[in-house]
Amino acid sequence: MSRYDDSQLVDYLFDEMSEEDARAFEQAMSEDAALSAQVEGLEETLGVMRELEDEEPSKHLDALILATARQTAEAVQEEREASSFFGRFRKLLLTPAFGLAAAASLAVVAVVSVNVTSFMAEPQTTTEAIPPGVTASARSADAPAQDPAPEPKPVEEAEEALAFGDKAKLERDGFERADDIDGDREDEARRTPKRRRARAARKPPPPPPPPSPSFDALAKKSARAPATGSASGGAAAPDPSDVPDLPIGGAAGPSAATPADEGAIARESTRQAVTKLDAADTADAKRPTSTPTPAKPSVRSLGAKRRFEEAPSVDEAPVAEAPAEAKVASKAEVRAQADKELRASATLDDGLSEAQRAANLASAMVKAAEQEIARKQYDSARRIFGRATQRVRGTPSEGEVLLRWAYFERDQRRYEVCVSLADRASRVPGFTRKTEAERLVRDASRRIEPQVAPAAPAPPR
Amino acid sequence: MTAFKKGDARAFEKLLERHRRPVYNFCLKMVGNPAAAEDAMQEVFLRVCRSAKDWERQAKFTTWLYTIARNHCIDAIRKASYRKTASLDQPLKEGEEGGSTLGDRMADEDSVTTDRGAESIRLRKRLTDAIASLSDEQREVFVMREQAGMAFKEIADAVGVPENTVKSRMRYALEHLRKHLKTQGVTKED
Repeated sequence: MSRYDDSQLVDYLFDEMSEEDARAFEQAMSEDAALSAQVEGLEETLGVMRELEDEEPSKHLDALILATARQTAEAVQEEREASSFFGRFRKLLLTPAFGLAAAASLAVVAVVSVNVTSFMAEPQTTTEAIPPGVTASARSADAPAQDPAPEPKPVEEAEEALAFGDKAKLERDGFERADDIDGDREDEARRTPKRRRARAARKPPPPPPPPSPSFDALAKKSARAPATGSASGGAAAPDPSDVPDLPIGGAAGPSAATPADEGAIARESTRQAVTKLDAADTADAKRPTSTPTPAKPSVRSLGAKRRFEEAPSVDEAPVAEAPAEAKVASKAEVRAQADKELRASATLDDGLSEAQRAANLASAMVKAAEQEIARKQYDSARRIFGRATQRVRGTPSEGEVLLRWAYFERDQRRYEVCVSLADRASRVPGFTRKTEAERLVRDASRRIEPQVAPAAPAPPR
Repeated sequence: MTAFKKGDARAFEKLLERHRRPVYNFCLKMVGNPAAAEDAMQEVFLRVCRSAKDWERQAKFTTWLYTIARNHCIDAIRKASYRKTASLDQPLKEGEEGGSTLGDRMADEDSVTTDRGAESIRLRKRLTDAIASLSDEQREVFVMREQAGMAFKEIADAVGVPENTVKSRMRYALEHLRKHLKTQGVTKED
């Protein structure tokens, strides 16, 4: 043994010696009986120790680990998304500041547009000078010198014609289809002659905007006003996007009626428009997510509402009656704060049977409890287990929840509670893992016995 | 592990499935107590989860995993040594090596086993006791080599001592085990 140290001996025992060295070592063993006996003794020991078979750890340990792994993976994914360009852009879109800025920009644009429109309309209509009841065509006939050039066919006039049911006029004026009138602004700009657009572009800038009412209020106001000026509000829907594009004045059409008839028709048109607006208001009020006031929701609230509706619903009832902005905030809070128990509701499908639904719910709530355990929020986990037990009571899933809860209490060294829970689980009708529950009862009971016996020391808690 | 680092939770499931049993047995041999070994195993994987971002691809995963396990088990052993609580594996009478333990006393008398099964359980107990009788330094080297299958160089890196020191500890560990088993009357035929 003198020539061989521990390192070489161990290398030989664990087959980490080169063949040449191994042969030399074996040669030395054959010459040295003590070395040979020592090596044989250690080989035998190693062989005996390798007889020790591995044991299987409890499966319930995995749940907690996997729940944590899922959380970590989700966090990683969120981080990756957030670090990407689109992620950052999306994050920016989701910020309240961006929402407010967008809403403010829209409001400014709307106010400016309304004022531009009213400014453009003023020179031709001269509303103050014309008594009520005088129609646009009459006014145009009275003052032809204001714009001697033959007026092209403005959209507003077409709307008026449509309101009066004069499709022939529309066709004569060059509109291909009557429903083109409701096209978007680009279509309208395309239909409006270049000369008119050029003239509109030459107009001086609008005066400073007055305090702006809401879009609906403006639309209602124009609709309910007497049939003066362009009478555009008569048949137009209260769509704010139409407001900036009101055309100037109105030329007398070939099918001009008498002033009295026109007044009656315009009043009827106005009445219909008001009815339509009221109906729209009523429909808005009936919508479950609408606000008490008919104000148009901001872009931000619409975006947040859409995001929330696309997200898995957690608990609709408590937040459904809140005002729009508060509702969005409270929903976000609910989603952020709610534990996985609430998410369970989203996984439920109406098409499932009661047992399947209970199983889904139990599974989701147990996962939620495991996440709480992973965060060492043991009381919270117990509350979730308790709620889960109540919600799936009477189904086989109750046994699943109770058994998992029992394992958790066993891990917490609360053997009495563990026994009680496992015992309950073993008596749940239809529960398939009753044997396992009974085994857990026996196992945990054994651990609490020494506490009862005065001679035995207490088990570690 | 690379996939898990990218946010794939299923990759971790596979990792856990592959390593849970060896890691549990590693911890069991290190701490010598099934309940503590379960706690240790759980904690090891939770640490792996939490430290995944620190893992470098250059490092062999098992080496990294068992280094975490070894460090945690050493902490657990130290903490346990400060606690004055009874262990299920502790002999009921002081100085009575190989005598009945609290765990034996608590064994369910209803669970009747065959002679062969009982013999197997006894042998397991003796081998486990033999490992537990090693010093901490010898035990970690023995378990890391035999249970984790780590090379001596990797063990040396994990433990922070030269490779020759590791081999020397292994040799003394084997000598100690041989003597211990001899006193217990355990031979290869058992």
